[in-house]
Amino acid sequence: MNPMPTDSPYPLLHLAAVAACPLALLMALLVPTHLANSMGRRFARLASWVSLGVFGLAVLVLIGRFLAGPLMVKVAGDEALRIDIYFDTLSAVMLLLVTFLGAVGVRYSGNYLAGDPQQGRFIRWLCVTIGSVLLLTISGNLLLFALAWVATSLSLHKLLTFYPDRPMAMLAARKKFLFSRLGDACLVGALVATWQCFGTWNFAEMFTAADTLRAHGSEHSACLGWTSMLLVGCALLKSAQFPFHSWLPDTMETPTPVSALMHAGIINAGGFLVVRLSPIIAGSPAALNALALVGAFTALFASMIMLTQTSVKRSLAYSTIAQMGFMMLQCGLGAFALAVLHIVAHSLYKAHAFLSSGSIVSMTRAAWVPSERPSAHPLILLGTLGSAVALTWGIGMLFGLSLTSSAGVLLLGAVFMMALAYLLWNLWASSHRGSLVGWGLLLGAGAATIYFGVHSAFETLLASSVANYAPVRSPIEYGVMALVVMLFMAVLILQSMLPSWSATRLGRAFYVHSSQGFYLGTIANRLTLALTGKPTL
Amino acid sequence: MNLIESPTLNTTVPTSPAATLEAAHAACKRIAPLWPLQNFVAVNPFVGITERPFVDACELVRRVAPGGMQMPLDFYRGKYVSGEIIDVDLDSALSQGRKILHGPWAESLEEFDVTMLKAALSEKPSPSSGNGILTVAEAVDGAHGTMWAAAVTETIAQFCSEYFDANQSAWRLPWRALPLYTAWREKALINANAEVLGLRHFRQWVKMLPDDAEAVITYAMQKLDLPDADAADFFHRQLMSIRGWAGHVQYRVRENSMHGRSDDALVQLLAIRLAYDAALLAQFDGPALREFWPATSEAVIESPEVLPHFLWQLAHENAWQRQLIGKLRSAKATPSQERPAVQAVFCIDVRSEILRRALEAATPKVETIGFAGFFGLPIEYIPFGKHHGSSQCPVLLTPSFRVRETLRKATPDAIDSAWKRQRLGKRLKYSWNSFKTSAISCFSFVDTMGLAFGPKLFRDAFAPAPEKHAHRHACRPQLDKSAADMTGIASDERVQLALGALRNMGLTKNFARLVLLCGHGSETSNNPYGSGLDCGACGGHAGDANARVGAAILNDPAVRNALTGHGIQIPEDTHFLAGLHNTTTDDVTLFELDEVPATHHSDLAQLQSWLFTAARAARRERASQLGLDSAAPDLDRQVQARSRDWAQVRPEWGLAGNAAFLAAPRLRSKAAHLGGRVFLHNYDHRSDKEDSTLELIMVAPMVVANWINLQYYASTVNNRVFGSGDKVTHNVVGTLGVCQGNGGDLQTGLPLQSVHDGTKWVHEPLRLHVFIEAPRERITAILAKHANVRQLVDNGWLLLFAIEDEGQHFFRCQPGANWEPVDDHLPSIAG
Repeated sequence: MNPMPTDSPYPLLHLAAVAACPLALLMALLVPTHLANSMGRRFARLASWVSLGVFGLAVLVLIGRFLAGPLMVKVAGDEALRIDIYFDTLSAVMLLLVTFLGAVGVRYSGNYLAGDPQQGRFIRWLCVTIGSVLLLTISGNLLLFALAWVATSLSLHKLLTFYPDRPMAMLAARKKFLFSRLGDACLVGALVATWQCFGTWNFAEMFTAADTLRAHGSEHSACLGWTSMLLVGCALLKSAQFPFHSWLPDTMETPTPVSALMHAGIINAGGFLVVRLSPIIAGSPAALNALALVGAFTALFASMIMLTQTSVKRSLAYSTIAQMGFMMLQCGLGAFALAVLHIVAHSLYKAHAFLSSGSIVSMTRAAWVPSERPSAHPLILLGTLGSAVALTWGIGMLFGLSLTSSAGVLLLGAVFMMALAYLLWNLWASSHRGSLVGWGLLLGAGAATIYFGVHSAFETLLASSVANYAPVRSPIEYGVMALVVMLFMAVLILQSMLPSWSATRLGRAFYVHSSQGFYLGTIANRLTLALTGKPTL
Repeated sequence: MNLIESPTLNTTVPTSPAATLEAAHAACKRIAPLWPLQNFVAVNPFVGITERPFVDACELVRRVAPGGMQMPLDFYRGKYVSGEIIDVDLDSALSQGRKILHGPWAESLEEFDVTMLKAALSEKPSPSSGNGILTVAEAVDGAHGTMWAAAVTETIAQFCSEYFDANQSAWRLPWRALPLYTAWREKALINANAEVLGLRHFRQWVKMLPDDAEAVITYAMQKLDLPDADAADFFHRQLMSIRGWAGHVQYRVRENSMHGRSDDALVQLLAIRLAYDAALLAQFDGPALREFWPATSEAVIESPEVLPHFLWQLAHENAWQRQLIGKLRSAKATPSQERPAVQAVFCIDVRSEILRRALEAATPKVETIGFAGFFGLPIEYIPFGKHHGSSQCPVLLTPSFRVRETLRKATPDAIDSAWKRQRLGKRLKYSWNSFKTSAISCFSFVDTMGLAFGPKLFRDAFAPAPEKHAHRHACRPQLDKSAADMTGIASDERVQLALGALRNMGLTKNFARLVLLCGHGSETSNNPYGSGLDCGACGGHAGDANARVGAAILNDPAVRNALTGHGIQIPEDTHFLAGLHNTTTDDVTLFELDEVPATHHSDLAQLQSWLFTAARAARRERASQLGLDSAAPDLDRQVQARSRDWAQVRPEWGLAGNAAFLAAPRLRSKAAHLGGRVFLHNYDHRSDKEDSTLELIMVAPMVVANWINLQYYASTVNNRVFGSGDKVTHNVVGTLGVCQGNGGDLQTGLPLQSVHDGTKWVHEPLRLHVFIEAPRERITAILAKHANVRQLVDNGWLLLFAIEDEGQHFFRCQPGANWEPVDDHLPSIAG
């Protein structure tokens, strides 16, 4: 039985190629640890070639996706227990991203952990973790998805506890373990709710059923709401959203490539879940509002903490939490395609930032900062604001931005406008030289063009993979958006006033609490210790 | 000889504030400075305790730093089994021990003989005898199973990183202008973290602390109620619990004092640390805690494990000494009177030895010379487009000259517009960077630029771009005096510098047609410790600037003219060249080639081909240590790829293996294969009539080499405490240091990967064996003049030997400048 036949002329070949991506890496499970360790560098080299090959395969199946259309195939099983593959543009993009990061990470670990007697074990679990994430991206039903989800978490746990003699590593891993199991509970809840609601776990069947339910009106959508809320809870827990974020900055006790992979390839599984199931979640205003509010708050909250961090990796970790928050906000606004862009762009950026974090010393050796902080001349302030508005609107309009665009798109445009204003402000206030005006406008125009260009490209690319209808809007939603814009504005003003403001009584107190992450990490640590006892060496 | 202070059991004597503070200052002096990563130079981690004999220091360190400063006996068992250490060495160790140990050590030594030493190897490693000093935090952890010691270190380290941060965080600690202790107090009055961790009413407790750091120390010590005699060691232990930041503070204290400013920040740091201990004691005092704290005073006795470890170390050193002296004795090279085609001056760095030997093997027409790689030029070098530069001289000196970098062969207009372009670029970069990192714009940055990191990631992971050297060649040092910014070197100063450099490197006659001044630097990627691989004599920077300044001075006709008045006749046809030895790849880059006269073009081509051959040979020699196949046809490419690989944790071995310093004519070592383990300084005592060069060598290069040697020693014997641990979890803090993982204290010393290859130690913990070819009485006279150098020798922080009669006789300097001949009938090759 093949419920969703594909257009592919060689469906079996295409399917085999897609399925081979995760399977090739999961094969590492078959290599016993002691053998992997005794092979050491050779095992690392082999894994590096395999992961590079898997990346090459991902490129091929992506091309196949565009030549032959999406792939929705039942591979085995029946009723609830079956294996489905769902390979559309979203899956293809994620597969390409994760195989790429995997190839880079495995290659990096080959030299980075050279000489470590446990290198083989490390590479083994690295491969299994990447393989589990790949399985997640091509899962065609929620049960398989949930299994891959848990497998990812458990194999990552093996990497986080790679150094059992480091008490802080063990504590952080346990903390993450507890949060993950909470997330698993949500996922099990979602599985039950989905079955109740749709009678199937197959994604394609679920989406069709959801369309029917929506068409029948509100009395049937209660289960849809419940399902959406549970899925959102699951995603927020996975993507380190407030107040469940504190494990992420504490996992720096693990080798750098794990951080890179975790921050680039694993943490955004929450976002992927939301986008994958956006045809369902977009039907629940409450779920979207929760995403938007928690996301926006996390973004700003973690951003403020990030500003106070003094170590490169912890700054990056808080930055990841913030970026994931922003991505959740995008989802909450119904901008799912942009959320995917954010996932991909952030992953590439953050993986590079982690892997090159040792360069920070030579970078600051060459860096330059203005001798004094910019002075707030009113004309400069007006000039930056005016230019930012003009550039954003002017170039945005070329890409179809208008006052009638959806509220979500306008909100994101406003955030970009603020960012541009900050860029121009820093440039123009650092010196009053005339040539900087032109350079600033050029820089701003370039950034705006890329921003809107990439946005519309992703909108077009993913149109078929995400919710194909606009979410319902009521005054509550507009209220939420207004609140979000005001929060962003407030943080922007706070940061541009930092040196003077942080000298006030309130500013000092805010600095201190912020630098401690508002104590959430310490509290979570104490809870973890109380639940699991002191790590013994 | 100084013994451990006898224990004072009388605890009823009330603590006197003056004695407490004296102890606090004494403890602060024991902390070694830690340089920031921008110019990470080697430091002797024991620099504050060299007034003690080595073995007493081992005892002290064992009590204040978990793990001590000695190698485990396992290590020596391996050396004994493999035949590297033989029974003769054990005999020598015992007899050497009898010469230098006194008091209780000597008494314990009497019980030892060779059989017992060997038996000690097969004993199970005994757990530490447990007389280490405990902080209150550690004692609370012991009594209640808490994690306070880590939490206190973490809290203070975080505060220090906020206070000293150099541009990592965008939102800075508001109290940075206040003294360290005051700033800490301001933060601690608001910070609820200690209370969340379970230290009740900590903020109120901080509120009642005195305003003055010294008052906090005396107050805390009254609460802790420890006898004065134990105070200094207790304070030392406290500082060692936050040793990384203590080292950084000590670095700043040292910089300030070199500029005549006083700074008591380290005492303030001690006060901060004591405040936590006093607060913990106030909350947790009780019978459970008192079982652990304070450690009983009887504990202050010599620990039984120090002596056997020390004797095995002596045996190991004896084995190395045997081999080295054997090599130096048997290596007979004949002097040549011919004028060499090229004289090449390299840094004394142990890495130069391999390349020098390879270059001499490539052609007998090159004479190589070893000299400190800053070529006697204490300059501050200001890169193009900057206002301030870095000190390009050993950290023992302060720069006397400022030299600005300028564009080569450019008109003033071109220079001006290049300067403006650079400023504009920096402004744009700064704004772009704020776009990337601010709290709001970082989101839009990712949407805009994130995808561009894909190709970047691919390139860095699979095909890293070669380092660009264009800038180095486009610029050159500007020697002309400029009154406006106080840069440049005046003519008479140039003559003095030239004279000093030539005399001290022993290059005063028989000049070759080409004289190469070759500095060195490393080329690594994504390596926070990169500057640690650069030239120590140039203050942790690459030495090209000094070489180029030196060559420019020595090519200056006015300088040459003036030198004739001082009896140094540089022939018309001698041209000085500057070069840079890339220690990661062994390639040598030459500078200002277009200024080489046409008459010398063929000499230059010849030199370049010799350098090319030598570099290949040097890479082949280093290949096996790098885990590469020395016969591989693409070995050159593999070595070069390492220098650009961002995941490479062992791009080169730096100075690992260093164990000796030889100040002698090159003839003494030319025929010997010294394996890149020896610092080589040219020295000919016959032409050093006033002993000025000898004095210089013993107070500067020898001490710098000693610092490097002890840094490697300490990072090997106890990497956890004196090294910076595993590189794979390094996290750069405040852009000036690294911590492990999430945070905690700043790490000191070298990473594990710099001394260990995963299966074995690549560095061998041997103290520096210094060989000086000069009459004993002349060395003795220098020792008499410099108490700090004498201390290093007498207390065994380095081992000093004299070579006399053209390498025929070797003498060892025992404490008190007591020279004894080295037995020349010892077997020179082990097993």
